[in-house]
Amino acid sequence: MRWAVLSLVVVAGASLAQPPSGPPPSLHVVRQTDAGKGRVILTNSVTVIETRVITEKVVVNGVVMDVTKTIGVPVLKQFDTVHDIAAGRVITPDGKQLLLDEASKKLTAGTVVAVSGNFDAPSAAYLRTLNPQTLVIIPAPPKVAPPMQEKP
Amino acid sequence: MNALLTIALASLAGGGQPAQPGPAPTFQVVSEVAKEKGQIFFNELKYRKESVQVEREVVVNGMMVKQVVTEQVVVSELIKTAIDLGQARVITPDGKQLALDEVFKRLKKDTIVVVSGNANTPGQPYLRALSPDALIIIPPADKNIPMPK
Repeated sequence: MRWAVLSLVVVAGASLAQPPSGPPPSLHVVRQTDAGKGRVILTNSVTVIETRVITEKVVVNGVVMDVTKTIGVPVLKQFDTVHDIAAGRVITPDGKQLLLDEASKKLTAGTVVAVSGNFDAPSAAYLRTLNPQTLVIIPAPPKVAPPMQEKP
Repeated sequence: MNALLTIALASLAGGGQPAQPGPAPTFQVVSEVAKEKGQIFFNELKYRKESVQVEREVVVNGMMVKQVVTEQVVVSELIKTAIDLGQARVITPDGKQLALDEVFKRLKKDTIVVVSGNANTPGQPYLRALSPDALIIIPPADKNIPMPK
């Protein structure tokens, strides 16, 4: 009995920090929802490093010289993405899939949603870090044209 | 009355768009915990464009000649990032700041944390989207981030 209890504790401890599989989801703000077309426009602000060329004055052997340097500057960029939720899936962190009507009602402007980093549900480890009410959008994979048949 | 008109005009000017709650925080997986140094590490896979010179055969005046041309290729690199928790702040989504000892009790290898997109607390809409147990790391400020144009 003592061994059984010990084993359970070890298993529970190990499950707390399992490495997540797949890419992390990203958080976006709903800008607009078009329930009729099954589309949602998400907006996001990210800090990107932009390259800038600057000229600095430096003193070399008592002589002031202009030195041109390339530096990275963090800049806040905002961008929109359109998601076809009719083609993709919208789930809650417990894995429950929402119907399109229900998802459209909940995706109101200003709501923060998580977007999967690929075309599958994010790893359970990532889903556990989300509020149970947060919606997760899983984009549909892009449509690929069928391979062309060779003519005989 | 004037106040009401101003509010209405402000709404129109904004196009009815929701206010942006600042940069989105990101999810990171702790790859290493160095409690004695007060640091944690993340491994980030990043992609960047790189110019490479390759030899290509091109047609010049009807003749095939070899030329060295510059092409852009996308390369991936694993970047190890360290955060000094002594300089940073760690909070829960309700805004409560955690003591360093408490943070190191909860942080282990492969723990998922949320890292603020700048040196400030993420906006309330982002915090509301997170589990009450989530740990949010707010790194120290290093440079001023200019506003987008």
